[in-house]
Amino acid sequence: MIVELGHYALVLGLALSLAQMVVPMIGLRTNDARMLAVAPSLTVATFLVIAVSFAALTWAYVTSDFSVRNVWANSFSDKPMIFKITGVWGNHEGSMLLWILTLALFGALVAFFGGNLPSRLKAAVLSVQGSVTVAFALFILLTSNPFERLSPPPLEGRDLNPILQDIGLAIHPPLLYLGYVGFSICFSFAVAALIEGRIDAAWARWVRPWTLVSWVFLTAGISMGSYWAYYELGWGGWWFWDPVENASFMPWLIGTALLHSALVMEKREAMKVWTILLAILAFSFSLLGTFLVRSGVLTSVHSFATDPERGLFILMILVFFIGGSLILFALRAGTLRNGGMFHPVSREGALVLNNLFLTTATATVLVGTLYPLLVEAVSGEKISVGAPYFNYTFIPLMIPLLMAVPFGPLLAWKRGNLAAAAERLWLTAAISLVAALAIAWLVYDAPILSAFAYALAFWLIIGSFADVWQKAGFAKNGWSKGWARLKGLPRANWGTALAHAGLGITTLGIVGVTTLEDETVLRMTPGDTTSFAGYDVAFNSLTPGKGPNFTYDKGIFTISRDGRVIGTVEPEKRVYVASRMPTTEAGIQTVGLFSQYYLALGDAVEGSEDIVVRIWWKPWVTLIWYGTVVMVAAGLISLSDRRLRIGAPVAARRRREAALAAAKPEPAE
Amino acid sequence: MVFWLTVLALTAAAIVIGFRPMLRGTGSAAPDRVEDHEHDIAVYRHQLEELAGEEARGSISPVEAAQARNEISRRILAVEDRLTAAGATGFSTVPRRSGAATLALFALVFIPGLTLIIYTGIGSPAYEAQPLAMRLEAMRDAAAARNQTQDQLRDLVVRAEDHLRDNPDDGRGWDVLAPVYFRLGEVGKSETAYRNAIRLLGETPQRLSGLGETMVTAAGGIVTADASALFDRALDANPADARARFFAGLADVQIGQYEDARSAWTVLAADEGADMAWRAVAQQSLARLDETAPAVENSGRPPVLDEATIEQMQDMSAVERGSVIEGMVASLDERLRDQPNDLEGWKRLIRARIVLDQDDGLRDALERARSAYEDRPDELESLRAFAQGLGVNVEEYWP
Amino acid sequence: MTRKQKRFAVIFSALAVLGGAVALVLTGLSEQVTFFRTPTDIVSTANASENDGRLRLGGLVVMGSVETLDDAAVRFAIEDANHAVTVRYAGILPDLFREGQGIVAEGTMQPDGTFRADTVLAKHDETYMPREVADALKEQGAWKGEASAETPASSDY
Repeated sequence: MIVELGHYALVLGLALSLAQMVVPMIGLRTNDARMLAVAPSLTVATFLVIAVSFAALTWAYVTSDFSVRNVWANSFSDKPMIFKITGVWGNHEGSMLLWILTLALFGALVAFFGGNLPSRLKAAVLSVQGSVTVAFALFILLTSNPFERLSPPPLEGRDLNPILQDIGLAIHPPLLYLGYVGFSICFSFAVAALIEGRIDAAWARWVRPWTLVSWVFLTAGISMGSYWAYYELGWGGWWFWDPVENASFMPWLIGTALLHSALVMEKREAMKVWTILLAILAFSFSLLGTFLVRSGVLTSVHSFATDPERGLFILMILVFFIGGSLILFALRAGTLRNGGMFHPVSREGALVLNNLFLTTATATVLVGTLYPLLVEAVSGEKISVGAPYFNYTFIPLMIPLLMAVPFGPLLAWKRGNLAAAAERLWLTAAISLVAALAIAWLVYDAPILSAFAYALAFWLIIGSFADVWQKAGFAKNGWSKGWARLKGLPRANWGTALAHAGLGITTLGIVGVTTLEDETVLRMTPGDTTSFAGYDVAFNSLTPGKGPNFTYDKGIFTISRDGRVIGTVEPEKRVYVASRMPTTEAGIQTVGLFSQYYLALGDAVEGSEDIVVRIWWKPWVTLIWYGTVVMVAAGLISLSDRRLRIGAPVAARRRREAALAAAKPEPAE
Repeated sequence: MVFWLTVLALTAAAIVIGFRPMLRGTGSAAPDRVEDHEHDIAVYRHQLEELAGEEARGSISPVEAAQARNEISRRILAVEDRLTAAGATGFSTVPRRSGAATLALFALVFIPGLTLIIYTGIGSPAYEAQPLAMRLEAMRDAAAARNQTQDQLRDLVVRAEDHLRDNPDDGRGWDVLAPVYFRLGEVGKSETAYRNAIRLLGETPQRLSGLGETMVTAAGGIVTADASALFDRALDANPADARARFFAGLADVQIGQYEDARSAWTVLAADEGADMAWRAVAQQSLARLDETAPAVENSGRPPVLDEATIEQMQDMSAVERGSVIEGMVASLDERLRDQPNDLEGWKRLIRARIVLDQDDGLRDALERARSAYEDRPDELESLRAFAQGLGVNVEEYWP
Repeated sequence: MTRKQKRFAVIFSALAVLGGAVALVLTGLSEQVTFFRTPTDIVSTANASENDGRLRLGGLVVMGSVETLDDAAVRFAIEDANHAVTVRYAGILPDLFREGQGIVAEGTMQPDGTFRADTVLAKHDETYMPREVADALKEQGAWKGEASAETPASSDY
């Protein structure tokens, strides 16, 4: 019964989201307050019903109900419980259900926390959000129904793709979806603003926290995904410029741009058209990503779904929402009066520069991702655009942006003083250069060009705090007073500084691992010892064994330096029983704080006892992910700033009534 | 019924939650336009406070602060202008009947109606959930119940045998005992009993097809020429005999006349006058035939036995189940002796032995499977996992 | 600065960045793109310069051709319906690399007519054939469908 209840709940979710879309729209047309008032409650109902549906599917997975086709195709009775649960979204149908659950969740959050929104705007936002839910609920019911049944039920399932049986997968897609789908709220806000014809500073203020929430989740999701690929695929890479990675990276770039341009819109009522466009684009890129992944049009290490019917359906959704919103945008954009003027050298100018580089970089990624499809469609020639292209185009665009970051917060609104800002940063520049040269020459004897890259990373990390440093005014106020002022700074200031510093830390990790990385491939027999990158690696043993639903060969290696043991790693080669699929589990040993020693087992060499072993030395590699952790923390700190949360004007009505009673205008505050 | 009540409760709850503001009455929940503008003004007031804070901290110069304050004030004025302009066309505060009707239409007709139409179109409301643990338990319970009835039957048989020893010419006794022997899996004794009954009491379609069935089972599921002749005779006497009709169809399959088998089984499955159990078996075999006909054409094997057939047959009376399943299992078993290199076949056999609760058969199947795959650890591992998945403690069989 | 000059400055810098990006994209797409080739393409091309630069070589791994060299590098041959090309690769072969399986090797052609790969791709799906390889084999009429996969049970997913 529970399974069918879930199926019914999903259909009910479709009907409720249709109501959520249509009723407030009628309310806006006829100016009927009651219809506007039901928008939030309908949204909450939609969410609850879809949550019931998702819970039912999860229950089917947990109890190994193989009468559900989706469970049979992706689960196995012996699988550990955690992977039974993650199996729910480790496949196409289940992940689409997670997608609309997230969609409905964000709607419900707006309904819940949106007390500070004017009722018309809120109703319009929820209505647009409802329309997206309708489209995807239809998509699921028509092309990818997870509740399809099998009669009679088979006795055993087919198992989840072993490469997806990993704890990284438990967290990575839900986080990514929270980010991806979170931008649907920005999109709904943008379309609602266009429908309502109110695009102003207040709108930007309301949309900012939602952008920030999505950005935080997306950052965390991409970072998790990158780490997952790093240790699960056994290829030693942390970013492949794979189309699926690009699909999540493009919304992140646009979302970052939106975060910055919404700030300008809120403070100065400038960049209005642009901000609305970015809000539409951020979600459009999320939809594009979904299309690229789900339609299987790309050759990619990630794609686990190929079905032209589904692809076509998502393409229709894509065209409808992107096309529709852009047409609305074109119709309304002309009527916008632009707001505050500003000098090119100013906070606004710096944020424009940020947007310029971020969107241009997004465009180059987009071109590189779609170009192979285009070429194949036009000429039939098959090409692939890989890391060389992306590094070649993306990095040159990032360098000036990263160099400019510390300047931004130091410039005043409207008209800034570049010379003064530069003056405040000279010490930062000097420290960065010295540190970089020290690393490049003394420690690692690296080429001079890499020193520049190190300097850039340090410049970012240290320079990010120039603004808070200056606001504390230690020089002027002395230590104790400066310290007090530092603590009194709004959290958003700290958020900005930390987020930029996090970016610098990630940059440092990337620079470190790119310039200093070393790898070797060699044949080893148990008992062998080899020396690599200053460490000694002893191959102790190779033992076969059995896990819950796989068999493995486990190598045990001891890593030591100058006779001191640093750690033991146990890379494995696994074969999963149900699917007979082999996978590689890398053995990773963190050395010091940030560097890693990474071992992967290859195949046994025929006619000998040797096995091929690949060893990487990955200096500073974990900084890449620590940096993103700092960015996520920074986002959360900003979110907690009370300035982002404006309470609803509760007292408004009473005050107005009092004012009317006194029959005179309210005294000015 | 419970399902539909739950569905009703879910729908009602969702609609109550969804239209909650309507239930509270219209007055207090309904927003108005003046209040809406207060939301904007709240934002700008907030900006002013922020500005004051920054100025107090010295983050911005007094000149900048003054400029910014001017801008924010202009925004507040713009909001108030808009409010005055819109004052005439505020929200309709008088409840309009059309609005209430639309809402009621959505809540009471549109949402439940649409859901019901779509769900009944694509859902399977009558299909219970099938958690694996419950299914395995049900299988074990069924096996235990079967053992119990068999024990009772054995007592009966002992008494009947005593009686027949004294009165070997009691045709009625043999007639009663024949199907019971069959049900207990004593195929040889059953065959003898049938023959005695026919000798003493004469042929009836029932006895002829019963005898045929024992012969098919004895032959490992193959409809031998003798058995086939018996079924033909049974059908001559009574063309409606379901058992004979089914086995005639099976005989057709085994000589490659799939179309004849298909039409015979189709008619049987649709025949409302025939025994339900045999109709179900025909239906299942028909489905199997559609799926496997090409494969059958290649190998000339009898239709494959899979868990679907087995489970279907659990609903049949034990006699019929005994004949069909045992026959098919026996033929599968036989085939695996000749062609042990068939992983799927071994899995089917193991599953069948578990479902039929034949521990000796299971032990035999596992041992033979192990010797067949001794040098192939992957396959062996897959078999082990498969058996474990069905709740078998493999270690017990594979020391 | 006048209003006009400000606007000019903003537009000019935007155009400069965009222009730079377009230049990067265009040169990137003409120089950094990897073309897909089958062994037949490589062997039968009249113009040797077509085999310059980075290539993705796709086909089936020739049965019995895989050998591990003393330096732990691997040598194997990739074939299509007509020709075979020898590939040398230093690194760990992907989990699903098997003889007879369709794979894609990425790298450059050497003057001696062998292919030096720095990446070898096989899909993490037993029945999977890299898309380019499948298409190329279909064109040559050598496609045998998915029937050769070891576990037909999962071929419809």
